[in-house]
Amino acid sequence: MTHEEIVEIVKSKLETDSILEPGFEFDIIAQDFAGRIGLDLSLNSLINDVAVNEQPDFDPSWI
Amino acid sequence: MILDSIKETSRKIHDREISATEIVVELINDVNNRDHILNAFTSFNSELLLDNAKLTDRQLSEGDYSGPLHGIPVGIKDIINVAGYPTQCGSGLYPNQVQSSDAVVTNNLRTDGAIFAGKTTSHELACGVTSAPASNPWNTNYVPGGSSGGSGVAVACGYVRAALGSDTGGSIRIPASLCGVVGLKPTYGLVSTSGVEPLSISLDHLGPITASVEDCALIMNSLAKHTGVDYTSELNQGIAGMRFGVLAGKPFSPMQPDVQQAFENALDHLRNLGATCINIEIPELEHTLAVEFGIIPLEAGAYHLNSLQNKPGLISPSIRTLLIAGRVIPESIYHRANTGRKLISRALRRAFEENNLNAVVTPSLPATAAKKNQDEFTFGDLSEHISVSYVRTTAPFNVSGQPAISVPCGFDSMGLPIGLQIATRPFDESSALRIANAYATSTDWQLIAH
Repeated sequence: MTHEEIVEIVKSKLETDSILEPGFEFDIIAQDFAGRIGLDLSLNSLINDVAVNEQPDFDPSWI
Repeated sequence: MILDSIKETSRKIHDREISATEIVVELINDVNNRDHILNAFTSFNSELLLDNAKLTDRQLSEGDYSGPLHGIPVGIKDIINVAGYPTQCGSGLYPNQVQSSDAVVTNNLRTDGAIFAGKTTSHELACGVTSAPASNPWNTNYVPGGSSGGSGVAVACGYVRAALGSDTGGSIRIPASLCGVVGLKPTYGLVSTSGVEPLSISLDHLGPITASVEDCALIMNSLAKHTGVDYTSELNQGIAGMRFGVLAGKPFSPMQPDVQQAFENALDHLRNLGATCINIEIPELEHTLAVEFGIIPLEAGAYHLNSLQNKPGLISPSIRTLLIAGRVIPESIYHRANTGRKLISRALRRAFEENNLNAVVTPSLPATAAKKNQDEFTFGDLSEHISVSYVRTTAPFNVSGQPAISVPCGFDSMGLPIGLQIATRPFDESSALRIANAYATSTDWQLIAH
């Protein structure tokens, strides 16, 4: 996804939310959004690769 | 102003060796002399303080004694409601409007006779690690940490023995570590957050920042009084025979060499006190920040949507970017982050059970205090934003919900404090306090910055 495409996604979403301040720093917001894609990959790795040996158990004191 | 411990001050108040009014007058003078530099307090009302102190003295003269917190000044982070004070969260979004009621925690403290010293500086919306304009009392060119920075400063400089903070990714333990004091993040849900402005409701915790572990336990007795637990009861039982897991690998490494050395010295000390320390790695913890940052923006963005729509100019650009991220990133990330949270929590639980652990120990933070306006730390080839550095060692226990306490364990070559973090099983605050007390009372790191 290109930077411009991300900026358009951000603008579209904010419009849907009625967040319409013209002074927003869309480039910075788009960069932040792009950075979060790395976190998503980390979540994928955690869910799909790391925690594979789950055994059914229960202790109500733990989250 | 350097107070005796809460226990000793309480005895003096009870025995009429000192009055609450005398303590408060000294506090007011001290704040008037120094707080234009330290900025621990964002709201400080001398008149209200004196009125409350006089009321306390009248109660005591009539034999109405509420217990060990009666007459003790406590600072309150400015996201927690206190009747008679505004709650402004370090943000222009909140009007300077006096609250008419207490939060549950401040009501507990009031019932137990504590006097509110004032509202302490919070990083904007409790979402950051620097807490400007507050300054680190050990060196005012450095940050005190955050987001409960003012509470860390107020305790570290000796204004008060205790203050309250909140902790969503480390915001109690970060200022505690950077300011050289004690900070406890209790188990998720143990201490009420009712009457407190949230950052991220499923990760927010409230707890004490104090000058000693014993002070911390006494404050916990008030904050969690519904449990009926006396958190001071096990403080002096020692740690002989206990087993601690030393968490190695990511996200705890890399760290500054001075921090590494102080941590290794602390482990030696724990072994000398009779504990066994074993190295363990939990690969799931490497993904802690993906979980933490997959939850906070969405919850915070949802909570502050109205402000984003109507008053975005009153939010600083960096916080606004985070809140907007919470509106833009897909909800599926939030749901998967919560799945990841379960996996991390279970991995920690397995580590405790398989290794028969009483606690896991880590450096509280991989680095000491950053200079004001410093954006990054450098660890060898790695440059890392300070907010990531400070959160990566503390956030695992926000995600798991376990209690985690930071106690001072040394100083770096610049004379800035270093913290040791101890995390125990959920609802086992008593063991966290016991281990911290065994360490703290047998070392000399608990000092007050002048």
